[in-house]
Amino acid sequence: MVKKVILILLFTIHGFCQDPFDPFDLSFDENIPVEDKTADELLLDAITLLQDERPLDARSRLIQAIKKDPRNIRAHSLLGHYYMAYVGHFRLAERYVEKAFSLFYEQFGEPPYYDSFTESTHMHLYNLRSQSKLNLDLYQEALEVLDEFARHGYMAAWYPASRSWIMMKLGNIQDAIRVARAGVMSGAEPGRTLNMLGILLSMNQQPKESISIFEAAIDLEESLGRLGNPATPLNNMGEVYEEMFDDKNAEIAYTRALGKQDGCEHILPALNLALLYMDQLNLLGAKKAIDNFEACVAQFPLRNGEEHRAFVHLARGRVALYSGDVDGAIKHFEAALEKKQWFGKIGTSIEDLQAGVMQSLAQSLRAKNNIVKTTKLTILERASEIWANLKRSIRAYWLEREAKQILIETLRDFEDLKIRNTDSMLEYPTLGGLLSSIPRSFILPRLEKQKVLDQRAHAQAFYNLYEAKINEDEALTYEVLSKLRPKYDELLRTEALNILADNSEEYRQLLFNRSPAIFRNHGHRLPVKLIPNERWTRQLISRTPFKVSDDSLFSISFEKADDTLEISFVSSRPTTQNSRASGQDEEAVMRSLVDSIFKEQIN
Amino acid sequence: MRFLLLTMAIVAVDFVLPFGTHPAILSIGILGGVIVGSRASNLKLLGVLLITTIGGALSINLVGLILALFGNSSLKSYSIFLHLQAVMFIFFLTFILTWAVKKYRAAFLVELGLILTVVVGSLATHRNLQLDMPKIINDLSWQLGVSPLTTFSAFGVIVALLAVIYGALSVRQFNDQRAAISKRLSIFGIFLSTFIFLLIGYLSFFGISRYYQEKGEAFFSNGVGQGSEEGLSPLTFESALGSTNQPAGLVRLESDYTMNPTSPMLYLRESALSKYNGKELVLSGIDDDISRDSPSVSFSQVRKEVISRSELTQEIYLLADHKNPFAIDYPKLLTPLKNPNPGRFKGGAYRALSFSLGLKLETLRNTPVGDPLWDNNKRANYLAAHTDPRYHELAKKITADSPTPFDSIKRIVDYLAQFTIYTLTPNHPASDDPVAPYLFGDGRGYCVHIAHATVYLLRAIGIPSRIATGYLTDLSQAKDGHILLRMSDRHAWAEVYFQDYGWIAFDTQPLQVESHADTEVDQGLLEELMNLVNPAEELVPELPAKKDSESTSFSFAWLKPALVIMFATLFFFVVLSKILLLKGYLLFPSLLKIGVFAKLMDIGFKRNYGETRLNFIKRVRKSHGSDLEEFIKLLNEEKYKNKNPVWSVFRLTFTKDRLPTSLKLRRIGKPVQTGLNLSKFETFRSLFNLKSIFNWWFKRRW
Repeated sequence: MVKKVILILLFTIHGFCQDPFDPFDLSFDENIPVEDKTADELLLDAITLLQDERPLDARSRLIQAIKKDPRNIRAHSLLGHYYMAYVGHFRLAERYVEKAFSLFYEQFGEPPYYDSFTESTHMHLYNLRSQSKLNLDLYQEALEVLDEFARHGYMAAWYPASRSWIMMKLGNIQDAIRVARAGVMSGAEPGRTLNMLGILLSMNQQPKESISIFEAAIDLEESLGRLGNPATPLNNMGEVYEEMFDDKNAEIAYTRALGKQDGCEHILPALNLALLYMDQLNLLGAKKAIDNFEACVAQFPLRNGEEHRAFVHLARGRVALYSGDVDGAIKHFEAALEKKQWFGKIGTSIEDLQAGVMQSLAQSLRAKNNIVKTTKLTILERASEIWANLKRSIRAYWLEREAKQILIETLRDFEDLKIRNTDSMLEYPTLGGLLSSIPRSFILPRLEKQKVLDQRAHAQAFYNLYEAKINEDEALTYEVLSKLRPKYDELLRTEALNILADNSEEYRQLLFNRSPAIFRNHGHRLPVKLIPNERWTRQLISRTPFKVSDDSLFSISFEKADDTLEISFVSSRPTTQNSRASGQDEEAVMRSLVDSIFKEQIN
Repeated sequence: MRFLLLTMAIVAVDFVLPFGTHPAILSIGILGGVIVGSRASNLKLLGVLLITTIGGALSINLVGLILALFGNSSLKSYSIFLHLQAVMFIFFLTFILTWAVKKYRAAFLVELGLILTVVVGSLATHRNLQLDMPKIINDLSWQLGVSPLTTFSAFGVIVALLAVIYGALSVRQFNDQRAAISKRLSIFGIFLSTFIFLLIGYLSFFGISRYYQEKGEAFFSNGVGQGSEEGLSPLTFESALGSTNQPAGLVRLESDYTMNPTSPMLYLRESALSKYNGKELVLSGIDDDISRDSPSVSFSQVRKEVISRSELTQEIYLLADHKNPFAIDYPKLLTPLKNPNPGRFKGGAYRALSFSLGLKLETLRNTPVGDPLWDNNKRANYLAAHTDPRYHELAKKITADSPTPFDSIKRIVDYLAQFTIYTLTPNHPASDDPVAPYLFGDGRGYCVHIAHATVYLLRAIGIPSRIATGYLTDLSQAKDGHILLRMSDRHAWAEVYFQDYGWIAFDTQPLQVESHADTEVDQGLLEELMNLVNPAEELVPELPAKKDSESTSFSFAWLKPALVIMFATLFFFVVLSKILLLKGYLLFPSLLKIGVFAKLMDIGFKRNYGETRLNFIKRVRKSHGSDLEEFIKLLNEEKYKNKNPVWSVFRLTFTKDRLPTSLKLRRIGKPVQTGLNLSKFETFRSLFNLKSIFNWWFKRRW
């Protein structure tokens, strides 16, 4: 009896699945040859295949459909959509959309239309046309498309968000806000429109309103379950918090974004989190954020990944630089500089990334030169290093020159000088180095102007530190140091300490305690007590990042037993880790000790 | 001339290493430097150094001060300052170089060395035939439709010839005295030397490019060349360092390969090496699943024995010549396609319908290897093991207690991956068994060594295997199912035959990588090729040309019209100048003097430094017979006394009360022309000599 019941139940379920009138069942028989299908059948197949994430099969069927029916509007518009959404080949997408438009006018004539199907097709084509123009950065043309759309008396859910986006791109923020607000009130594509409004309000210096809008957008996206995209508004909210120097909430927002189903659809939450951790000198956290992102992307073998490679290299390069792996950092930055694609981040252009990478690469090259100065080399190595050193210095100068030209000429009179400008990829805590290479008569007036323009209290600490670096003003540096936040401003703190470290033993030791790698990158030498202080031990620490000082908190002791030398580094400070190295080759043991002290293991 | 040469050098360097300041702006600095440097040739070194250091520092600071004062808190003025700094730097550099070249004979060698260092330094990334960077070589080759190797060879030869010519011209400048004596021979000399130069250039160009294209084919394709002759191997064991990113082909997938067991990597088989000849594996006639014809010939096979495979259509467009076609897995059908762009796809195009594998490799765990339907000959071919017992011993050791052949294969692959190092430069000494130094030596090798070692070890334990060659590509770098294959993607890997499933790739990837040629695919190039092969080209019309913000790559489309305009302009000015030098005195009387000296120059007579006009004319009369002493006396008289009314016609000072110009000129011009005493041949020859024109344009000393 039970068996019978189960069988009946199974048949019922099976029968339901096989319902030929089920509107949600889009499956098709793949055994029917493509040649035997009509254009409309192929079109339906393509829609199903796109949903099944088989884009190439879908593309082939759409092309077949067009070959069978060259006047098929839907096939053309769907191919346009395919090239826009799945491939990112906007020029080709535009061609298909334009062809669809011309076919539409051939078949239905000029508007007005008196049936809803024709009208909605026309409206849909306008949407595609405006999107293709927008993606080709033809903002004025995109706006004209929307104007034409409105002149026909049309209204669609996508319209407000698209229009406000285009207006934002054209720099008309106030009108963009008005359009987005009207869109929100009319309930047009609420998720996208709310997100757009949040961005616009943040650009209009209304961060608190922006955050409340993003919260509404997040709630809405989360209510959609698997179909929602909450990571986007969460990431945007994090960026606004970051601009407000509310790092705690920014971290929470990015972490939440990464936990969502669409968390690795784009690199931005992971990258923003990694850069936030960099400011805190939490290198392990930064590395993990990028590692997790890459592991997540690896789930999608067909994803091109081109859009995020430069960002990954930038973040990994900065982690390597501050963990003492300068060679690795240089390689990463060079790889990032090779990439010349557009990254999809609102407002972020190739130039933004290039300037950021150039700043970091120049910094790494200088760090390399400083490290070489405190590295034991053979005569031959030293001779070849003279040329290499010169090349690195010239390259660093040249990169900084290029970065400055980009920042001034392409990015509108150094608009990225505003601390934590969302679009920028500059490293703000260390930007003082780049600014100090500009003559004072040029940079100081600009800095003063920026200080007046930027009313955020904590931003002043950055500007003041830049000024202190430019003027080599120790008093101002002390003042900045006292205002830095614990945990969140660690990288900025090392910059301040570095300014003071030149003339103060105490600050040099403080810098070492904060980050031995940064200490070495700047070419400082750590005073150490030698035990025993003999000629051979002094010789052994020559050309290393140490110098002899009898009243230092740090000591290096040498012990020889048989043929083995053991060198120990001991600190009287509890925060500094003691190190030890041993072996038969004295120079190799010393190198190993230096590496263990000045390189941070973050695996 | 100097200005032109240095400007060209600046433009060339700007391609490779952008200055950030437009070369046209920098050329102002060059022009200034050349003029001031030439004028200052009498200065001593100390004076030059003082001018350079003090003048440079003062001017740069002064400019900086002025800009800062009027900058209005904007950094735009700093940006202008940066450009001016670059111009001034170039100015002082050119100034010093020009002064040095004028002052010291040896300085030109320094300058030549400097120019060559810049050129060689800019192209240093091409060492070992790495032809993918900097982009200028590839871009230019792409526009011209030739291989980067050809462009590079031509470029090298041109630079060398230019260096020799530049050197020769610079030497001449100091040897005017000596050169003047042999002026009569110079025309012949120029023709001869040009001919010799061109011949040397031609021979070296074809020698270099042919050598690398024929002998070094495998060298710059990851050690994996092409071949279809039985008994031979297209693989090389010595080095794969020249591996280059030269585009080889474009694959367009017509369907999704969702069941790819090696995803995201994709293997495209071109050839198979299964016959062991005592030294290495070579091509044999037994592998009937491989097409041995050219890609333009159709190929079909019916394979019933393979299961778990689905049909996959690909279109393959060959950017370089290929001896055999390649495709994913088992090609069921290969049919030639209409080539959408024969200029670009030089190797042709074809469509492949493959039986592509669609299973997880783990499912083969209990599957027997080999095929019971094979005859003895075939079985022996795939099992022919290496005679060296060490292979057998090692294979036994690695696979001891392996429950199934699949486990044995996995263990061998894992062993090689763990204990060997991938390098393009194994540097092993030549040997009868080139695999032994890799497997039993330092473990350093590339795909050719690794694939051989895998097959030898597999065959040692009775697993039928072979080496497949072709391309290994990363699907994650594809776009819209389009894969750009480069020469650096050429690869060799091991394959094992599983009963009912057929040949399956087992590629060993060492965990330690010392060097590899992997770089990311040029997405711009991929997109350009996609457009060429997309059916959309036939389906949708091209939009009217407009600003395409996506396109950021540098285009050489302007080069052809620009060159035509440039040469047309140059030709026009040359002809105009020649006419003016010959008959210009009819309109501008002062040109008579220049015309006479120009004619003398064009037949090989030039006034030396320090030589008076009269002495010069006497020298000309002695060796040539021209009698122009009266004319020169008249000139001198006019120049130094400025009294002779007749001479006034040369200086355009005649007035209404004097005779008409044409009459006077005829009176003086005719005897002057007669006095030149030129033969018809000399007159004809002088017409084609451009020396006087260049002298007129650039030197203006007669």
